[in-house]
Amino acid sequence: MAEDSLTLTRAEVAAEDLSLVARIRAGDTDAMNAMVARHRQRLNRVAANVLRDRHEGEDVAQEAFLKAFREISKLRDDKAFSGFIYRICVRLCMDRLRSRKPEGEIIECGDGTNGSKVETKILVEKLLEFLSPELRMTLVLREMEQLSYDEVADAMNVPVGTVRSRLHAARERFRAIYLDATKEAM
Amino acid sequence: MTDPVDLLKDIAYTDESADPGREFEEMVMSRWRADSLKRTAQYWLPSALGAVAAALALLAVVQWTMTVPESKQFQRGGAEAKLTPGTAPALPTFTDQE
Repeated sequence: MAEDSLTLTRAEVAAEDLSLVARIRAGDTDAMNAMVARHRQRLNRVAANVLRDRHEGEDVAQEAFLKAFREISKLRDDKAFSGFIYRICVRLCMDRLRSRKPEGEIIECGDGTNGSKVETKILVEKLLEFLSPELRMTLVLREMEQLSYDEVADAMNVPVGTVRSRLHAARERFRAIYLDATKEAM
Repeated sequence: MTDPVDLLKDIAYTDESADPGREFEEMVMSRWRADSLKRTAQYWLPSALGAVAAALALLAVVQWTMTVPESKQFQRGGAEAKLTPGTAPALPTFTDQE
């Protein structure tokens, strides 16, 4: 039942996207505004989660909207705008991660159990910097964004098998660097 | 000890915590307008420059064609000066022959 209502909601969202995309193609700025309002929260959330910076995430989300509007002629299925803009946002986040300089030393920040929530948060955010952009993106989309393997594969434009292997590698690497960081502090 | 990977869920941003608010839409639309203006300028700039260059070339040609006949007329005028009626010798007239 819940799934039915979810499906219906998705169908409604797709139907509304369809009409908005048609209007955007015709250059209607009100439709653009409405589209931004519909997808604003989701894009800001994913960009902030990947980049771990709300303001940079906001900038990337804005860029994603501009790019989507500019390249709307490339959208084959007008109902698929949601996935189209999500993929653009993920790609822009990857570009930002690749352009960042690698971090230096791992900070020591307690053992993760005794430290405060803020310390743990800082430690985890810092440790994410030690993952490659591909591993980091896969881990964030799966663990923070709670996407399925298929959805991660679609967002990153890679096969599902690649997502599985990257996720495995990302989890192992993250656990290892977390243990290293907390061991040194103990 | 908890799995470190589970800590990621705890620090994830939610829709509410990452939402920049209504001003986000205004920012996107203002960037869109600036972007459109820039693209329009980039699209028309080569044509505008071409038109200006063509106009300048046309002006130069017009000026040249207006100055060239003046100098030709001067030369021809000089040559024709010998043939003007004013330069012919005045013939005597006899009025008392009857």
